[in-house]
Amino acid sequence: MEQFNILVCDDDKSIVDAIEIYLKQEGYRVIKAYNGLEALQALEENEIHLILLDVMMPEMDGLNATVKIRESLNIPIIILSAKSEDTDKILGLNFGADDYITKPFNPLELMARVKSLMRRYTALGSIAEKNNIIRIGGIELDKDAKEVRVEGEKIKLTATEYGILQLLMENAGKVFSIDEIYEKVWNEASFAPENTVSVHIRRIREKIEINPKEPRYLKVVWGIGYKIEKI
Amino acid sequence: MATKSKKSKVYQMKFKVTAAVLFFACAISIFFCGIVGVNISKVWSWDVINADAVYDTEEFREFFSNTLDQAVLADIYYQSEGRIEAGLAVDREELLNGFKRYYGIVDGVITGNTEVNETYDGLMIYGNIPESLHENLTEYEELVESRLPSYYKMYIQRQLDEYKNCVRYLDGMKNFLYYVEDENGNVIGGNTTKSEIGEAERTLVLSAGFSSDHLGENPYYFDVYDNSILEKSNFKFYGAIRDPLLPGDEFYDLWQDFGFAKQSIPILFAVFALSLLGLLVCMIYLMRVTGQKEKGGKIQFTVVDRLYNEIHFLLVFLFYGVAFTVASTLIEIILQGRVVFWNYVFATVLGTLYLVAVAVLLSYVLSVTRQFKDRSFFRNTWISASIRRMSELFTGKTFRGWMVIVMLCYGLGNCVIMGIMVMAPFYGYGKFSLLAGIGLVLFNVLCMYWFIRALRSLKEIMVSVKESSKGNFSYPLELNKISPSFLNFAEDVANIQVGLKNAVDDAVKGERMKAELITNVSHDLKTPLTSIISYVDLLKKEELENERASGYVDILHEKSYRLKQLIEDLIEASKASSGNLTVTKMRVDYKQLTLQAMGEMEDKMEAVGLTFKISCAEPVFIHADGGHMWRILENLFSNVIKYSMPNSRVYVDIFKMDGYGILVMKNISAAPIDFDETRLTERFVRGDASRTTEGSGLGLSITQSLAEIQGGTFGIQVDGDLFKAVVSIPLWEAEEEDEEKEEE
Repeated sequence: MEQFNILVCDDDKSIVDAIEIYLKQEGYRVIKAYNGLEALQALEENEIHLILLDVMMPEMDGLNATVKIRESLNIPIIILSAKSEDTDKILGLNFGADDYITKPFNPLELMARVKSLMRRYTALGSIAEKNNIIRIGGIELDKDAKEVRVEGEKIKLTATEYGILQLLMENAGKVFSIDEIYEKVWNEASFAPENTVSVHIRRIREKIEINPKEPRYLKVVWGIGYKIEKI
Repeated sequence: MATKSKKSKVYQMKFKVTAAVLFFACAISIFFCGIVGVNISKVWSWDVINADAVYDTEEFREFFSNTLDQAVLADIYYQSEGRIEAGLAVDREELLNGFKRYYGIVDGVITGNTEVNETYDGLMIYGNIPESLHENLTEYEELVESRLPSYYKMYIQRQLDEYKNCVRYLDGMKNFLYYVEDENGNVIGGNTTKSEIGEAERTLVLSAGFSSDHLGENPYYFDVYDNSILEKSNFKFYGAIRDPLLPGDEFYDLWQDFGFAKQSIPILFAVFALSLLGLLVCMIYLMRVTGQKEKGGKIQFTVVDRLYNEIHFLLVFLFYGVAFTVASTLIEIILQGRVVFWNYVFATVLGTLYLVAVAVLLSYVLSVTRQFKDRSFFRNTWISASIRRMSELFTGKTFRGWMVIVMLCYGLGNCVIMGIMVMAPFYGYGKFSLLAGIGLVLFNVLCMYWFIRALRSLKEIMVSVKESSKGNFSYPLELNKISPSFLNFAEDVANIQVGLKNAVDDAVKGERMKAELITNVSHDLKTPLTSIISYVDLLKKEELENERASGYVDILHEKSYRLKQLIEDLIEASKASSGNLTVTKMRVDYKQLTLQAMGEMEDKMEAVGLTFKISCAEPVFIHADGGHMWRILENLFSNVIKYSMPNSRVYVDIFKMDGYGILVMKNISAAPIDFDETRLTERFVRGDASRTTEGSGLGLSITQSLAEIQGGTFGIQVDGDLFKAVVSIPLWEAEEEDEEKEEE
């Protein structure tokens, strides 16, 4: 297997070192940088496949570095930041980042996200399209096999969970209320206020999302319903 | 005054009191002088002062003349009883006129052609009396024959009575000497002899055409003795006053009284003058010292000084008006002397009234003096006060001075135009009157227009103030549109608005800075925390020889995540409480929201064995930010999960009330609730004082802030072990558009 180079850039050396340990355990090679300028220099000197970039850094901050990198490269960029505001996230993603992880992060989540992005960047794009397969981000729903794969890995879903996921994925971007989901999946009208649907949704999320608390795909529109984000 | 001897002492209270007492004493003395004077003047006129002797007084002359008249009547007109009885003193005309008047006989044809006979018992007819009147004639004749003789007798009797009265009166006059002489020089009547009169000093001779008067010092006025009886006769009257006078008649009394009056008048004047002087001196002294305790000292005012001077004067004036009316009425009644007993009462009332009047005068004079000494007399007038009040309105910054001029011009303008309107016809310019009328209307309409414009700018200011009171400090108050009369006011209001805006902005800025500070500090905390979490995780993966060591690592792992949660809650709490959060309001289904939230928390609920009972009779749509609502519910649910009695039921009711969508969550607390429910929503207050359980103590505080920034409320009620949380959020109004309101 080809070894991938990952550039880790953070002004806090201990964080860079910790990330390096995790990444090495996963079999990646790590190139370290401690500010934006160093990161740009490292990019010139090495072939990099993914960048982990802090925002608040001396010399050049992460956002500016992202803009600079995007001028020439299309490699995945994950921003690591202590800023957890929605506006910060939106800003980072708009500047060209592929993912935004807030500090302090769970190292395992970070690894999962790195793997997910790497997989899509290197492998997924080349897989041939099959009919009856709905693909959203890293999720594949095979209607023929009634299977769901996340980042290529098959996950186990109950029949109801599969039904809900299929409904949402077929109508990606559309918001379904609890009642609508119930009617369409159970094929009967909902009467009593029950949290059955929402419990199923949570379980699906736990299976398909890297961090169920900050879902990328299956989102809650509070007080309105649920949807699968179009990616 | 003895009190003036030492200047330093004259301001002492005892001297003031003494002076006041003296003042009143003098006043009383003057009053008594008045009484004595009035009593003297009851008898004597002013000439008593000039007269040397009683004979020179008008009163004496009058009395003498009266007596003389009686004497003339008795001794010249009637002369004797026999003469009266013989009918020699009868005045035929007087008798017949009296008779006719008595019986109601009117002079006419009958009386003109008849005459009563000499013996007054029959009628003589001269001329022709028409047939038609014969009956009346007969009647008249009968009346004369039957009634006239008795009327005649009555007349004679009356003359006799009068004669007797005169004689009796003259008998009483011991000091009045007289005799009457006929043309031949024979004495025909009187009470004395020629010789005695000759010896007398004070004599009087009267006759038709000649008089001589030696009664007093000064030649006397003849008209006093103008006696018609004497004028018609040839008699001469010699009169005299006995000198010295004998006691026992009224001449003597008069003489004595004169002596008394003559003696007392100088004393009276002296006392009066002295009292007046004393009065004045006391008053001047009191005026000098009044209101002061030392020379040049501060003026101390009394209650009466606070009255406006016009009003004070009017009151005093009114009092004097009433007092004079009452006094003059009383004096009149007393002088008439009809009711003797009441005189004492009236005199007492009069005296009291006099004293009160004097006291009022003194009080008023002293009050005025005090004010003059303080130079505050004119300031303390109503006019001055009014002018000051008016000028306060128009001077200074509140109203511009020229407002007075504008108002005066308005009044003057109206006066002039009205004057023209009224006066023009008198000078023959009737047309101008009509023109002036039109002008008057136009002028007033114009003024009204200006007035309304001014009012409108007042309205502008009021609207602006109202907006400010609502918190909108940037409501524009366009000063160039404001009427000049309210410009100052408007500027002040604008300044207040600016001041308030600055204050509020500062407060908001301060709050925001605080939130930013917390956020920044939190960011700085997060970076090392990232390392801690990562390395603790790495540690966990290491093969640790020591069992305890791996236990410690587990604790580190748990607590580092706890720290992460705390920091996130802190940021959120500071943002929520400072309103530094974006609120994107939309139509949110309260029930669905609750179900979604429950779905998210379901595993934790099951873990503690809680059963949820949701009741929602109708769809409740609220106007809220779904994300914030989720945070609210998440906090509430995790609160319930943390503190509820395990395996109990939690009730969630959703309903509408008063324009709010209300969610009530009720659960049974595991531990007794022994804290103040109102403190629960404060930051860092937790249900368990030990703080051992997970949670930052910020949950309910965040919940409250989030509810409030969405225009709702959050409340907690505790009833025994029953814990009740109530979230009220404004209902979604169907009319409202799906707009997104953004608030920073």
